[in-house]
Amino acid sequence: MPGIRKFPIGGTHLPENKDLTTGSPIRALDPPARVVIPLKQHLGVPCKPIVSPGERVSVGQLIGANKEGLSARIHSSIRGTVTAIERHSMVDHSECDCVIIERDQNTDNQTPAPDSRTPIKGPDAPVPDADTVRERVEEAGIVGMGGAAFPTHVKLQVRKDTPIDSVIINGAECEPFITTDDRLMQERAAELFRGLEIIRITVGARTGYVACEINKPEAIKRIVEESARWPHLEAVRLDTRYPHGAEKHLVKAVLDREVPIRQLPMSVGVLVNNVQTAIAVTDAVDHGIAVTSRVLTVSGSVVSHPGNFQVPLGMSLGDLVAAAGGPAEDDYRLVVGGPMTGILTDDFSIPVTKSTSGVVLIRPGEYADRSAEVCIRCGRCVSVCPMYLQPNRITTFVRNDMTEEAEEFGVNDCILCGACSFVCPSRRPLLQWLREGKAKSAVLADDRRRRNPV
Amino acid sequence: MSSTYSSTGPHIHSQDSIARTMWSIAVALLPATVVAVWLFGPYALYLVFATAVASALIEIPFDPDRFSLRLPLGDGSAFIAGMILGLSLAPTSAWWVPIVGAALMVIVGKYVFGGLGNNIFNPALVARGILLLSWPNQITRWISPVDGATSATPLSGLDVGYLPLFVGNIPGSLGETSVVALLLGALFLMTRGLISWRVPVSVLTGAAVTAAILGIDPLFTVLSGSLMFGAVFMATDMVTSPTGKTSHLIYGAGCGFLTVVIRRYTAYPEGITFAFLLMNGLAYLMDRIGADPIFGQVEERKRRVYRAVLLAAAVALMALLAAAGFIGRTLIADRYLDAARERSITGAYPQATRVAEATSYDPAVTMYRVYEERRPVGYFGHTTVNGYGGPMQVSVVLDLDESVRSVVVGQNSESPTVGTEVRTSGFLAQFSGFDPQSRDSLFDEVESISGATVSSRAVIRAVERVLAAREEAVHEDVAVGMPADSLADGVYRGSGRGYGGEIVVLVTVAGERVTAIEIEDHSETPGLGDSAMHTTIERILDAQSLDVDSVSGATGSSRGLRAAVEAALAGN
Ligand code: SF4
Ligand code: SF4
Repeated sequence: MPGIRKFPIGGTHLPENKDLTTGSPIRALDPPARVVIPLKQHLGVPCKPIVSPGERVSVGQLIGANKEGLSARIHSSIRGTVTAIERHSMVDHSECDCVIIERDQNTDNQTPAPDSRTPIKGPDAPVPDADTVRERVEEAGIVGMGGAAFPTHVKLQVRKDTPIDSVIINGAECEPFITTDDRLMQERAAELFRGLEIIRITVGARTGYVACEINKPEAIKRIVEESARWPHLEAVRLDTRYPHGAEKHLVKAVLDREVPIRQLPMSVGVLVNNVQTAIAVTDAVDHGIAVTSRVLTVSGSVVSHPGNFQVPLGMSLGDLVAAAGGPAEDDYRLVVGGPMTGILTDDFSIPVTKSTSGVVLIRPGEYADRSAEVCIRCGRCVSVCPMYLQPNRITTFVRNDMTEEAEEFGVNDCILCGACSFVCPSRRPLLQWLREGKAKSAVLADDRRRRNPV
Repeated sequence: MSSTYSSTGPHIHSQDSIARTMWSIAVALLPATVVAVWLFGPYALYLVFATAVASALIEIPFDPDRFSLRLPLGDGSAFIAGMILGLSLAPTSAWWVPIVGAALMVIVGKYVFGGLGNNIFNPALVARGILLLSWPNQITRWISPVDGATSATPLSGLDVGYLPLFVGNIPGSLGETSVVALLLGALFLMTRGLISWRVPVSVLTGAAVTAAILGIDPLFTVLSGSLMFGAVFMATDMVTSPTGKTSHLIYGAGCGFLTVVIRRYTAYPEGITFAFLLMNGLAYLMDRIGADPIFGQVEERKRRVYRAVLLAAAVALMALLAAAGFIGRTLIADRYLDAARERSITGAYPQATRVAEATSYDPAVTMYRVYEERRPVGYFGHTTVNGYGGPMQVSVVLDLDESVRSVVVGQNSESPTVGTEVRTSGFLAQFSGFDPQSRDSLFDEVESISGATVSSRAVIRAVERVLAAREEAVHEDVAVGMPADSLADGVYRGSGRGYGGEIVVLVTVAGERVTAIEIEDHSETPGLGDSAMHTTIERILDAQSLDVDSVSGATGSSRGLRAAVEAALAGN
């Protein structure tokens, strides 16, 4: 087995806090009394509802689709009755049409029984042809479940000019607290490898890799064992460093290929997929199961019973936290996603979507409250930036409305990982200013286009 | 400094702060402080801590927000800058130096620029620079921790071996003498991630390489004086150094290079202050030119490698050209010299058997001594001056009695007619027999060629120049060694021109050694000249060589005596 790999410069070590949940098996949650299923859980255009209030739906039943434009289908996550289709706020502060479904009182267990996913197919099992695979993936409504939410059936469509030779499963999971992929690799490694094999053959790649940081020893053990069975698939151990999960850095670490700026891994012949996405592909292709739930971690030292849960989509954050025993203290903040790149919210009615990777309650001692002292030019933000940017300088430009200089110094190449903000001893809100910089740059670009139409 | 939080994250933080950073640096300064107290006594403790505390206190009115009951000495930035300044003071500094230094540092070094984070120059170095210029004694009166002797320069003439440099028991500033203590501090800072290894390492490498090129002992350079202290604690100052990796390397190498150059070529034996200040001024620029290509700028990275290779090739080519030019010039000059020498020497001294290079006091003048057998019979000086059309090579043949025998004008860029005129008319003949002792000016004695005044005057200037260089050289570099080894035992008489007139000596040679030198006659100043001659005699006898230092204040007498001894041994 090859040695431990890493990307060359930048990055930082974070307090991992994974031991809170790495040993807790995935527990399927009972369907809540009510779910709010957004009609847009993907990158692209929203789906149109194909059910109407009063209609009874079952688990896995198609409730939203859109033939035009980029989108991914939406299915019901519980058995019950549609009560309304209305706008609801999302975690990113946007609003979206949602299908509200109330649970039937008399049904007990609505999530698909685990045995419906067996038998798990091995290395010798045939893989359907590419079109069939893409069709089944599209029907199942699979999107990138690491957070990007890009529709997977589109991703599996290889362009002629950029052939794919390698597929990487991103099991780095470098965000603190989150152990979703960790647990999935421990518990569902066989399905993960089957999913990877399906993707590999579908896109015509030679090799598939499952990459995992070494701070997850149990997961590593399982994927190494599993990889021995698959002739074209490899397990790769990564050093523990934030942000190894960033696509470009993962590609650099695993294959030593540098993705050119403003381009996708595809440009160097690589396709990167999330762990849960690959498992969803197995479910869809081999068992015809649509995405109606997802696994995520609820963690933080103020959570009574932190753990990893299989959550029906559309369940509210409030119900989810309650299922984990609720907060044990009063003073905490709720973060959706990981604490580095996630979003802070106090709205417990926000629903879980396909790309919700975790929920973390952080306690006051961990807060990153910003006092924005003066920059002491210590250079730590520069040394941790995995894109080799100078966040101190870029943010100075951004704050002085010197957007062109900010662009010149790469504000648009920032991957918003937050490593710079994390280490800044002056606690400057660099990430926030970088976002502002990107926004200002977008305005400027619009302006340029308007004044100078091609 | 209102506390806010954004919903964009990150929602956790390394829990680091300015105060934690600064106080960690204070810890790193402790080993050097302890060694200072151990070597120089408790007054050292006063100097270091008085500077530090004074700095912190002076800062309060400027930025009261930084102080609280929890952090009575502020965020530590002024305190550590004060410690650094204190450690760079001489152990004999007066009691008021810490306070004046601290005030200069905080006010001129920091708040004039707008306070923490905004100053371009390292405040400790600004204060040190002002102190150095205003009260040089307070900064550079070094005291030896071993014997208590004071010296004005820690570097010149210090010959102590490497071990004391490591331990620190050498004269120097408080915190700068012990390399071990400094390395301990550096190690601490690096493991805490507070400084990058790139800065100190490149400072030291830059200095060592520059020293090696200039022919100075690189190890001594690195270990001595404040270089190590500066490399670890001053060049790494966060606010005033660049932030990128490549720029760290360029910046550090620049600091090291300038330090050695300043040490070597200026009146300041301690180079770091001005070298580092200069580089501070360039830090922001370095972050611009040294910005690493963005991750994914694949083409840009290739371009840089390509550019670096081109640059290296260009530098190599230039070096090659320069070397070729240098060698070529030397060859041409040599050929010319040989020809000119032959012409002028065989013209003037048909019997000459040997020509030896003699030291010249003017680097633009090459001096030779002409011998017939063992006897020096005259001198030959050669120089280049700018004439009407460009450089002009002039050779002057001199008698032993210092008068001009002949002047030869060689290769020149004057117009052909002018060049010929200068050579053929009676112009050059006017120089023959000129005696510089007559105190007459050549410009009065020699008549310029009408229509070629510039060229004529250039020749006159050249002859004056050779005469001036010769006046020193004749007495200074009398012989290569002291050729007593082939002389029979006996007493030899010789004379040379001293300050007041002729000095006549009797030199006793026994067993191929000069055993005694007696002064037979002289007209030197009583007292001063007398004793200088006797000192010189002792030195000659000790060294069995004429290559001895002159007695300062009476160089004329010393040289005259040596010339006399040489003349005696040469059988003149
Ligand atoms: S958020 Fe952007 S600037 Fe900051 S470390 Fe990450 S990539 Fe670099
Ligand atoms: S980490 Fe903060 S204080 Fe340090 S250089 Fe970057 S912005 Fe400035």
